[in-house]
Amino acid sequence: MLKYDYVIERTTGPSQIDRFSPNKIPKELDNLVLIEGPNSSGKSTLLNIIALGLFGNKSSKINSALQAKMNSLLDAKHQKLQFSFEIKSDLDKLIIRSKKTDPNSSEIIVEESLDGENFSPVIYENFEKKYNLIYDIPSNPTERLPELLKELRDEQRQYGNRIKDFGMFVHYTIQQIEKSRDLQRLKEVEERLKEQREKKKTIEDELPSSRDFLNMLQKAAFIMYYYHYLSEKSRLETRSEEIKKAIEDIDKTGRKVVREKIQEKRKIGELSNKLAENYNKVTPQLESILPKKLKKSFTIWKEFNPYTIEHDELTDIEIEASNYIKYIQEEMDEISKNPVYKDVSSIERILDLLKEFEYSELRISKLNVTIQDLINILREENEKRNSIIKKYKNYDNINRILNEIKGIVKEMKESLEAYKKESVAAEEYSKSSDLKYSQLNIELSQVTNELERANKKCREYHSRCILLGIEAKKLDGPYAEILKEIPKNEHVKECLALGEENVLKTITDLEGEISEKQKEMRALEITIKQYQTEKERLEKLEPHKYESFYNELNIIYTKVNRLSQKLLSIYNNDLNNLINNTLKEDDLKNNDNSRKYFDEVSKYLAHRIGNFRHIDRTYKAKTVNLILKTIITEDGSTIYLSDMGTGQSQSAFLLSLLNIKNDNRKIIALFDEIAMMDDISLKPVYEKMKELYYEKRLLLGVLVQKGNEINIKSLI
Amino acid sequence: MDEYSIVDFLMALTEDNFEKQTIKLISEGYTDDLLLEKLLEIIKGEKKC
Repeated sequence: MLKYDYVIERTTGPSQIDRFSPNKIPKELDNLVLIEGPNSSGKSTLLNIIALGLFGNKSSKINSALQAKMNSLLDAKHQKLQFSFEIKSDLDKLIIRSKKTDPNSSEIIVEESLDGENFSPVIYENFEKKYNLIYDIPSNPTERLPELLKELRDEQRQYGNRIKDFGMFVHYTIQQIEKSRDLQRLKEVEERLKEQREKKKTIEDELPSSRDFLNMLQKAAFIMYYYHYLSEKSRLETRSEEIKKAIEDIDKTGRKVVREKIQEKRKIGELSNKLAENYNKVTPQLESILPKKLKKSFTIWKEFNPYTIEHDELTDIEIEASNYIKYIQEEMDEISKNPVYKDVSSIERILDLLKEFEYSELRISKLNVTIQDLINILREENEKRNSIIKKYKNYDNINRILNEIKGIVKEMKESLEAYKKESVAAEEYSKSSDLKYSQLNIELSQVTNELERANKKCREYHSRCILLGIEAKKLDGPYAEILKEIPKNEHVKECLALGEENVLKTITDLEGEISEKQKEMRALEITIKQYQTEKERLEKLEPHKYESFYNELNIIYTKVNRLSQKLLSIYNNDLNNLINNTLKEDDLKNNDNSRKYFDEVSKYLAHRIGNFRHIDRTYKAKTVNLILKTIITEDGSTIYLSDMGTGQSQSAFLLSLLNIKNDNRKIIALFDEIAMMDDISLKPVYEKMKELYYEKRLLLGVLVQKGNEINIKSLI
Repeated sequence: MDEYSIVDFLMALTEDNFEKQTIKLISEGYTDDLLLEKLLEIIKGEKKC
């Protein structure tokens, strides 16, 4: 049963408002009804209000002309609408009702009741899930067939979205598994753990033998080299002492020669000073006494350098001095022959004798004088003859100096000779000793360096031996004893034969290898610990119920994604091309997928149309080709849509709207303007609607056509 | 008149049994959990083969 009412206030002039409400068509109608009536009897308004009240203006499958009519009812500028209606099923307790109570608002409230008493509001999305509103005005069926495609597109999208949502659910489930106990990850971790432990074990097995060999090689090498350098050190120390002594001997001899040379030189210097002193003293005296015949030679004398150490000049001085001595001696001999000089000499001798008695009071009676007096008298006598004495004494003094000069010259000449000899000797010694001295010093330097190196090596190998645990006292003991400490090993022996440098390199390499292995071991231990922790953490996690189907879930995820992609993108595009009439036969030639899709759409449309009347026969559609605008029938006929009568094609179209399988939604079918169809064309439509009604799939079916008077015909 | 639904249409477009069953199960209103169970069975079955 359909119960309804409405009020429409429409502004038709500046101060004129027309009011419309149902006054010709009854306000209660059966659930499946055909309404005939003249224009403006409210037939279409009723259908518009029912469709509007059931979200018809939001449904994309209702054509745009009808949508525009529904929306114009809501246009509050020139009209105000209020309505309410209720559709009650005759076959069960389902009631659906809709109302718009505020004329100034577009709010429409839809409610449903499953028990016939309690109502609850229904929103558009839920209404769509439970009810299938079909509202159509089949004016041009040929053009309207694409409408079916829109419906197909909507449903295809719904499936596509449902599958997409399911894909998201699968993805979420996969994530949940990954966050819970991830078996795959656990397996990976276990494999990695096993791998790392095996690596560690390999190194653990290798390390001890490497360490043992290194230890043996170190012990053998360090002990051997320690003793080698100890022996070398001793040899070098001995040699160093020998060289030092040899150098010292050379030093001692050299010093003696030089000392003697210096002494001679110093003596020559002293004699030279003495010579000069005497020369300077005697030269003025000589000048005053020498006769003219010697003046020439005296000129030579004066030109002498008194500080000379030249041998020839010294000889000249000696010769000149001898000449002067000779001359002076002759002069002195002459003086001594002079009686006066003799007297004076005699008196002098007497005075010398009396000198002892100079203060005696003894008186010589005959002369009546005391000895003192006598001395004085004799002195007076000598004073009278003093000049000759003075002269003699002067000569004597000069001769003495000259003789002294001669002596000095002689001594100087001897010293010069000695100095010369010593110089030659020193030079000869120097020549022979310098080379040896230099060689010894070079050798000493080398020996010192070698000794230092040997010392260093000794200390180094000693320390290394101690570090290896060899007792110091054993190292200081006899070599035979320490030999017992050297490991006997063929490989060690072979290695030692390579020489110290190679052995030390081998030891360094081995130490490096062992160190690397130890580092690797430490790194592996850390990694193993990390994997162990990860394994324990993963094992502690609660297992997800689908954890063992992780791979399968990923397969499902991939497959459903692909399927939704096809429905929402590929097929959707194909369908849009069909709807927009942009698809050409040529487009399908090289595209198998699009061809297949197009063929299936053709079949789908044919099934939607099902049986239809054409001219005077009933056909069953097999395929509908929207490119060629033909229907291929089961009996092989090709019917062009353009050749079909309007009523027949309307009928075929309405049937296609009703031919819906696997859709449990309740149908509300509203068909306007079906006047083009004759009874024969309408019959399959009535039959289909009745069938749906009795199957409880049709809640309301209203068909409207133009008539001269109001005629309501129940179809149930 | 035999009926031809959107499900028949979509199933006809599928490429394998998995896709076919997915469409079918969805049309039957299976929830995500149940759908997953069913599809897992299908996948496991395919693996055995």
